Amino acid sequence: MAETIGIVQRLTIAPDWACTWIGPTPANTELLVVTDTSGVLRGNIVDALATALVSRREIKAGHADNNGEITYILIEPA
Amino acid sequence: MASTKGLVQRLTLSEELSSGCFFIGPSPYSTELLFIMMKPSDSVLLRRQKESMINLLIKAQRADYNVTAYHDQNSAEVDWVALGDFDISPIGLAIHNDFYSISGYGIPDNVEIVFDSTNLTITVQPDIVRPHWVFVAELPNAIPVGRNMVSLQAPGWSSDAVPIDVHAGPPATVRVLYSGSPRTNPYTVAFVANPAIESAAGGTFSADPVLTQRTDFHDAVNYCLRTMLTETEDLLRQNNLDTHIRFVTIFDSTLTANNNNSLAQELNPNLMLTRRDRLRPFLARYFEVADMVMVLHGSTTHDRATAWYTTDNANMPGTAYTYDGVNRLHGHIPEIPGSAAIPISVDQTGHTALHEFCHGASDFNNGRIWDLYHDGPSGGFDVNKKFRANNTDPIPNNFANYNGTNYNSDQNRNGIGYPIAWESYHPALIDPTRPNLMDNYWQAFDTPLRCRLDQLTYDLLSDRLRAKIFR
Repeated sequence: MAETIGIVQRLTIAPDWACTWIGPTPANTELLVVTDTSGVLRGNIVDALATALVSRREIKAGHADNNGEITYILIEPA
Repeated sequence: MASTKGLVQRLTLSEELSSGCFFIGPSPYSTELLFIMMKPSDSVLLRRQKESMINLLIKAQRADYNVTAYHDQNSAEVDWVALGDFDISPIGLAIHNDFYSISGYGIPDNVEIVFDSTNLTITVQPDIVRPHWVFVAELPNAIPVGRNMVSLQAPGWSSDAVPIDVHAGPPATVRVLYSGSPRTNPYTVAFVANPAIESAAGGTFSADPVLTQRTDFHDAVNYCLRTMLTETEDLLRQNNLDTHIRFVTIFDSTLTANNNNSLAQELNPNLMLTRRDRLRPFLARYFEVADMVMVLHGSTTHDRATAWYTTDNANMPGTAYTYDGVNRLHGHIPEIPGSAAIPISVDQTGHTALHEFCHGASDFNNGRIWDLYHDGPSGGFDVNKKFRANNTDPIPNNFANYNGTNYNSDQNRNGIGYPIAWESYHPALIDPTRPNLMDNYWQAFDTPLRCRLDQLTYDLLSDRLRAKIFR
């Protein structure tokens, strides 16, 4: 399991997926995705990413080593 | 697909209509009306995504962020929304008298940070500027509390303006200054205000004065970062290596003086040591893991800086290297982080922070970067110091072979010269006109801050840092 750490630089929400760019600068990011948001928590992950983006908070996004599908996020106390 | 970009000037949400209407545009009087409608035919997934889009647009309105809404050329129904298209990135909350930093790319050296509020424009000179990052040790309280637009500006160059909310306080306990590589376990340097000092005799603990000297803590962190990232020695910034390094501070003034909170111990007559075995559990309380911990303390009696090497985890992967034909390893993961104890009263005209960093970043068991200003060994495998059998023996031309490359010896120890009784000798300097950064750099003819490492230490530490940073 990998955990990408950084600032949420950008978030796009489409009808059946959301993708986010996480990294220290707008030019140095990892692209991660949330696909099946029909589950309650997956949808909340997208909402939490939006909150982290506007609050400039660092997050940790968990995903498998070989793909960018976010399975959890961690936002530590500031 | 068409797109409409701008601020969410106005929104209405109607349960009766099962829809949200959004007026998006550059001003309240110049908008496009777009909508998101919940339909009975929507799948559970689509319904949830629409809720998230509405959520995003509400947050964007509150934050004054531009959004981009994508919709069919002939329809006002939103299909996608995107948020956060800035070319700079403010990091964390903006709080008076706290650290503040902004990341970006191609940032010029002469950049200033501009805070624009309704009635006032405040320009702040950053304490540190790197092409990807600007850093302010203390955010001036002249910046009005509340909504500001922050941007970076230099003659002929400017960034986007990002809306932020400025707060009067209190400063954060844990502050991410720069988040490093977007990866698992980025190489992290933590600056920690030491909560308690253990006496030299051991077993008794007193409150560290640094916890009541937050301004001095900020100044010391600024000094450390300056010596590590902006002076002549470019170990940490070569090839923009620092773009991958995460920097974080911890200042917790609520902690009491006890064994669990003490990260430093006095060593008479005037040294301060880190309590290296306490660092990991202490950081874990703040959900932090570090490769290097700079312990900043307020002692005025034990104000000579020291460092402990990293102890790499031998059970984790590493990058192999050879030194004089012996196979060794740059371990990727520390079992015990490297550390340095730095007084907040440190003489800022010298290279103390970077000097101690170089000690701490080396490994206890696979190559220590040792002091060159005295004749003794460290007691382990020293990378940068060797010994002649007799002080009358000539200094060998060749100092060592690292990864197949021969490195010469420093025959003259810069202009300082080897004392006649010394048996030790050092690798050749990068800048032979100034003392080695691991030697007595205070004897530099101009400023200690221009001193550099020897080439062997530089190359080995560079490889070691890369092995960890790209683990």
